[in-house]
Amino acid sequence: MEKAFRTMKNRSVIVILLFLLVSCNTYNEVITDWYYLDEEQKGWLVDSTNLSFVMCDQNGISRAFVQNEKDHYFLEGSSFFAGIKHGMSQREYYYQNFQSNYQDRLNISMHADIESDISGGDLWISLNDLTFSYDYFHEEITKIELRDTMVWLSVTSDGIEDSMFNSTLMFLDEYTQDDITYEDVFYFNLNDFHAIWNDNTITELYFSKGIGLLRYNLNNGLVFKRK
Amino acid sequence: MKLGLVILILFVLQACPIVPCNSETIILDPIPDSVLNMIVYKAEGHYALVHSEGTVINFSCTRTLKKELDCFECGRCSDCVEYEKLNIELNPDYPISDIQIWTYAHEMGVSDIGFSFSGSNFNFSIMDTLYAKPSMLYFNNDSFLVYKLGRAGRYSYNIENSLYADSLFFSKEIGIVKIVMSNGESFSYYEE
Repeated sequence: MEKAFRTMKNRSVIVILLFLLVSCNTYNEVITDWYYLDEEQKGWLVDSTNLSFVMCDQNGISRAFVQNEKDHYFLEGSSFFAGIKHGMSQREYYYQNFQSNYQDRLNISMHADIESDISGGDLWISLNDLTFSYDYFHEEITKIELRDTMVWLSVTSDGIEDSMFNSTLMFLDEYTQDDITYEDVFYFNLNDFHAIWNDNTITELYFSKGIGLLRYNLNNGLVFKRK
Repeated sequence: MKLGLVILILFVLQACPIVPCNSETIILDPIPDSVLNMIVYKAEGHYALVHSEGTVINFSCTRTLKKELDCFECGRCSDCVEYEKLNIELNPDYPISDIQIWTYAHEMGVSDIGFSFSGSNFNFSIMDTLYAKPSMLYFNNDSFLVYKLGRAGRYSYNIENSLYADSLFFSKEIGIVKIVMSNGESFSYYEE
């Protein structure tokens, strides 16, 4: 009887210790991996020191974008085995939101890469009805969303699904606009979802590292350039 | 035991009041035609403004006059006010924001006529027209009285934009005569 009682007591101690280990923050720190955006990736964030920039179309109509929101935090992830948390991740995340005086909305967000993780670090750009994301790890466009229609590529441990997008994202070493040459520019060309395009659908977009939006074209021929 | 009984009675009284609630709905007079006619924009009408650089922007109009009900709760009862509200929306065929115009009846008569465009609100005070000094606009062999409205405020809780509508010129005969932006660009009345 006494032996059984001692065994039970020992098991209780083990259970209590396990419970403490699982719930204790110190334990979390031990099993937490922190992932940070590298400087190269962070360079694509918009230079928001002046908070505002002006785009002007070929008809001389200007619009000013102002930064409404800027956020930086870590996205938490957890993995469990038999109900016990054995791993945690903290991925660095940046978010910027701009709005123009004519109600245009520009969002830029970025997640840190997780080494050997199936999803690489990604850059999300959203301008009005168009959103796309680019995966640094796989060097692919992984998602395009136009209004309510969205297509994304499936990413598994075997790799990334073959791209079904006709749209392209190209990195340009140089791009000249109105006599100013910008280095490190990406150019996005929408070539999907033609059936739901309207006059104001954004078809092309130029974005410069550290500076942000340089130019975008609409389906109706309007071209907006950084002033 | 007695205390329990008292609490029970109080609870029952609270849940089922013996005194009936005298909620009241005040119905305000409709917006007079004289005010409705001050805003020339008609439902399904088409209007245009020309930008200072020459682009003509066409607007389609929706105009709705409907009854609104605002209730103010006071304890368990609520008093309501039913009033008329006119909403006009001018939707552009160009990627700029729409223009909102509104007015509504209230206890003292009729509200100001409100305008909003590109981050700004403007008010045209119907009473002040007795005192305000309009300027005269000559257009297509006609002349119109034009009131200059200063920016009454911004309509967004977002961070103030550096570019906004700075002033609006309004005429009871032709509607919006001109909107001047803070960077000097403008949108002016246009008639083909």
